[in-house]
Amino acid sequence: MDSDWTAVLLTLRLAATTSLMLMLVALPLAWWLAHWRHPLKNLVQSLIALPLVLPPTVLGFYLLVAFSPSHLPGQLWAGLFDSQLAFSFSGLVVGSMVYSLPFAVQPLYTAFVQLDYRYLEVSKTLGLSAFARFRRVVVPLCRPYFVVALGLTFAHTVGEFGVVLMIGGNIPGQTQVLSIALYDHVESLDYDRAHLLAFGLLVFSFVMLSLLYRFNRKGSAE
Amino acid sequence: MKLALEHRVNPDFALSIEARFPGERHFLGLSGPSGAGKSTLLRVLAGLEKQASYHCSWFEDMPDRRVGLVFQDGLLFPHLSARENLALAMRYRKQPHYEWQDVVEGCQCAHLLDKQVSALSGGESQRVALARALLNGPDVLLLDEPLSALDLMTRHGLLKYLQRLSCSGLNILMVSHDLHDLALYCDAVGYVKAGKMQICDEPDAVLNELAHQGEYRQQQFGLLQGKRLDVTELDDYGCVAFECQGQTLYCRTGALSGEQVKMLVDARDVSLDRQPSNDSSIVNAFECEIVTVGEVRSGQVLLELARNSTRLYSLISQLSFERMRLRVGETVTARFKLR
Repeated sequence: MDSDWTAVLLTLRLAATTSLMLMLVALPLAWWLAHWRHPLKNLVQSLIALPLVLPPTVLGFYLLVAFSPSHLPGQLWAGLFDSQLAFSFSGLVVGSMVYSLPFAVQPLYTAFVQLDYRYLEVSKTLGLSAFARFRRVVVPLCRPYFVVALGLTFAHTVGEFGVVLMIGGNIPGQTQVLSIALYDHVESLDYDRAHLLAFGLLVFSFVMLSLLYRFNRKGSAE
Repeated sequence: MKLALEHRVNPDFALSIEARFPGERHFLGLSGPSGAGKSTLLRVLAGLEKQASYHCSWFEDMPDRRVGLVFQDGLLFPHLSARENLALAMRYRKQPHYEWQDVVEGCQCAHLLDKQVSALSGGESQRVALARALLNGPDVLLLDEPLSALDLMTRHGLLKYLQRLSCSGLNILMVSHDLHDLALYCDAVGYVKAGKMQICDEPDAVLNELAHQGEYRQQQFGLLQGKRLDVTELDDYGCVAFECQGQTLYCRTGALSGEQVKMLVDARDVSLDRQPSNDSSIVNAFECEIVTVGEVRSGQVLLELARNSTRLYSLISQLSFERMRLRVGETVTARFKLR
């Protein structure tokens, strides 16, 4: 059971790290996309949405190749941090960020497209700086979308399997997340523990989605 | 105030303004048909159109200026209450020009402060938006149809408040479709059409020029103004007397700015006769000369009347016109009710 708790904690740590770091990337990316007018915009949007339709093992395979020290991303990482990305927690975070990118970008993109930018113009005439405009106007007006982006990224990372298996393997305490521990139990025919983890994931996913729907209903009622 | 402005809005429409409002005036009005470029002009002056080039004499020696802009629909932040909207403006104000209490009372929005923005009507939002802009301590205030959703009494109350602020030194440029509000309260008025400033002058001169150009024919107004007369017994009647071209006139809703009284007279309210005095219940009698006779349209004739530089209009039926045999150059008495 101790190893299952380790997997639970690792999964939560991975999901939290991925969600927060992805928000930092997705926010400027979604803002830029919402304002970008270019014939190539569709291609960029397709590229970001690719993890939605691509088999996770395909994505995991390419990430594994990119993480190897013989390729540029792997070399850069090794040069900067003196460690390797493949089969490490850092590698899982990077992989999860790529895998969950559309779940973070799409709600934020929708938020920034539907935002009435005249509110920003008013706040500018009131003397708010660019940061103050973002904090005091954009964030509150787009709050439901921010929560959805954060919630979906978190839930999606908790449930991921193919990508983490490809780039992280199955190292207890380092890369063995919940879904892989579950797979491990099934392979060793330990169905009791498999049931426990599977039911736990099911309840978590259901509760998470219910909370998101509830929050969005509140947001739209205001 | 001098204003020069160039801005290409789209391939089909460019704003090209070259205007000089007479004198050193603080409260200027801007009118014109829809799509003429009035709102774009305000956006340019507020610094919201990056591609535009402009020069405004109000902004000279004011590199760190704060230009407030009030949109027609208020645009209060919907995630804040009315009070929080005002508090945010106070937090980022440039200078403590105006006190909270004065502004809230002047904008008649004290009872609205604890309401959520979504619960405010259009007119209420406009009042709170105006208060928000003022509490932010602007050097120049730009108003884009800021009172369009207000009832007549409240609108005049706010216009009087804005007039007081302009008298204390705040520069205000207000866009409105209601040329008559502008004529009553503004020091000078501009008329924009198809991206160009057509006329830019004293309010009465603008009204007269537009009448000659055939604009606003159905709602032609004359602007009578003069010095207030000290007739204390009139206080009981809720009206004031003023001297206009050597004649005494009375009004109720005229805009008072110090000792100066302005009164708008609708051409439809003006009747004509040849008697210097009569027993009519109509209080005001203004002796003047018929200057021009307009074309007959829908059985009505618009006459332009003048006494020195003051212009007045009378829209009468063709039947009366022909029965009375009125002619250009003839002296008549124009009668209109005390309003």
